[in-house]
Amino acid sequence: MTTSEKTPLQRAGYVALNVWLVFHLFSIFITPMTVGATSGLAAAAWRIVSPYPQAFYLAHGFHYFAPEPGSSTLLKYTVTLRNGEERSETIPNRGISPRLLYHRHFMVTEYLGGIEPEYRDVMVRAFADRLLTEHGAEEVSLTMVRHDLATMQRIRVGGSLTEPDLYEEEFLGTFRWDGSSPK
Amino acid sequence: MGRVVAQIKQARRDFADAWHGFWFSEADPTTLCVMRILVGGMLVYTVGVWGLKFDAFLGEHAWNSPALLQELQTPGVAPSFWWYVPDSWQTSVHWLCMSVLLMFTVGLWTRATSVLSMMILISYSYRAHMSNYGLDQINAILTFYLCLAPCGARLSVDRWIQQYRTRNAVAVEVPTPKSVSANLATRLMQVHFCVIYSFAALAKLQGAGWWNGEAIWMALANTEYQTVDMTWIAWYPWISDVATHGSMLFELTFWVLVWGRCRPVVLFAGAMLHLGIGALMGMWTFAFIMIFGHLAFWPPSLVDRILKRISNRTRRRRRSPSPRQPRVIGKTSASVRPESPDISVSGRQLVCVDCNRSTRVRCINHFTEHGFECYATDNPEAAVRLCETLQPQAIIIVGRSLADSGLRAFHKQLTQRAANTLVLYILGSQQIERLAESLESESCHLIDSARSVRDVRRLVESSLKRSGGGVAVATDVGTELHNFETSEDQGPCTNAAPKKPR
Repeated sequence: MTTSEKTPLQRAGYVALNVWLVFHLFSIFITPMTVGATSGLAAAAWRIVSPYPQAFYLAHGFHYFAPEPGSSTLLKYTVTLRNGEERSETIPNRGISPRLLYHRHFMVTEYLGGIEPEYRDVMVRAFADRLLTEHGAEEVSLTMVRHDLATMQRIRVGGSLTEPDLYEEEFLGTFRWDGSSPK
Repeated sequence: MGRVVAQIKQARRDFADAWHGFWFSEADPTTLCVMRILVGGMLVYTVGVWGLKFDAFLGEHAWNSPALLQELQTPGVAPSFWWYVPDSWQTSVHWLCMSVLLMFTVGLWTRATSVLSMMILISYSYRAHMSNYGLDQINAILTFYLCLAPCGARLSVDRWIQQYRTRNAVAVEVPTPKSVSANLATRLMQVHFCVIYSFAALAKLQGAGWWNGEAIWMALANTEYQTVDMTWIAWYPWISDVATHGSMLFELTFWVLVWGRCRPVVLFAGAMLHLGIGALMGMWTFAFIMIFGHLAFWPPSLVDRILKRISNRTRRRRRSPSPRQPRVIGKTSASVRPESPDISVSGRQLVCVDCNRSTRVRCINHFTEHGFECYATDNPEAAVRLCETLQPQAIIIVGRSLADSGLRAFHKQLTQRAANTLVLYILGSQQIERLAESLESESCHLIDSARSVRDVRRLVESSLKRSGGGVAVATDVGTELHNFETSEDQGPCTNAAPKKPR
């Protein structure tokens, strides 16, 4: 059926479909443009279109391994159980299986490494809450570990990827269970 | 000045035609049906893995703490039904979600389950916000576009049910109808993948590692990702250089090269890149979902050929074909003797609609004997779909058992969807009187049901001889079809078992 043969309703539908299509294309293009450094114009455009891609979970920057692959963030913890026993573990660890579950844990700790300072305290408390619940523990100590990458030159002169000086630790605090939330 | 205006108008018209052709032409949904199975399988796996540690990621005391997410997410634009599910129901709802995703994968009630799958995916992703990565993003993008497309049209339970309902039809495997929505969804996936790779490349250009060739080393030297010890590359830095520059080149040029002749090379390079990420960094799920997305660039005809090859191989392995299996009937062979040598045997297609299986088979056998490719169904709607898909040059409908209103509606649909088709109605004499005015036209003939099959065939052939086309015959046969004779040399038509299809 050519355009001229369409009924008014079909023509209106065709126009509406085109309008949606243009809007959709604009939104999927503008979304990654506004991740990171962006202009005022792009930011203004994003404010207009943002509810649409966000509602369908299409608002992503696609900055995979960008600007370049960097160090990893890990979470080291020690829980004190009710019987006084202490357990230490690092997240993520190779014991987590399947691999997708390992990546889920890894993404959580990576999020901790990149979160804005104003949200960090809430996040650390949430992690403490999770670990106290999971282990049924009385106390948990959290340490954030940054694992830097070794250079090729370092490997060539006999170094390895896991030498102690590549790990930088930051103590996040000790938390106790007070019945409703960690303190 | 006038010439400039005319040129501008012509350019506008050309653009409108190109735009319409790119987005709104019709396409075969076969590729999307394959993608539905693959993406659906990935959704089942993804959500299944959430289920292994449900409390840790979606529970009240999860890593993704509700209190934290309330601060991080903009209210109203991060929808998730998990905020409204009581704790005691969470396991049941999770399994319900798994069931819906499984139904989507196998293509059961695909229209509904595709939309529900999208809602499920969005809800899990926003609830487990801090645990997501590229896999969830691509899952959402592909599922969103699959919702727009008829992705259950093939390789699905829906399709199987549709064929089961018309099980009396001696129909061969009917080609899937092309649709605008299949093309639109495919194009949107293609464009979105171009956007993904382009912005991935642009973001990488800000990093020194992607310029000095160390980026791939940096990725492989990350022990948290690493699955294989690749430190030996430190002694061969040129490998990292080649891989880094190759990755950048691929991502930077994807949006240009993937539309042209280089497409197979680009897709092969993409598959190698992602398989490399999967093998060396353990991100198999992300690697596979990206490769599944690449399928949007595969021509449906190629996917169809691959499916047929797989299907043929499976059938050969089984050796004895199942009686339920669709049978190809009416394919021309050496024994076929076309009565009118002027008419080409190839391309003469035939559709039968009949409530009576034996008469349908008899009709098919007769036309097959005379060089027609014959399709049969007892469902008029299926006949219309067939005609829409095959676009045959003639249809025969024996409509004695159909009501006048039903025949008129059927005729209207046929003229809309198969406008260039010769239509022959085989009706009772009273029906002919009543319907002559509304049905008869240049491309439509009403034939008395007392006529034999042979006469009808000859009429079809003579009409085709004049117009030079192929044939489809649709019959809703009443008892009058028994008057048809198969051919002079075979004697009158009997209820004998149908001949084996060639």
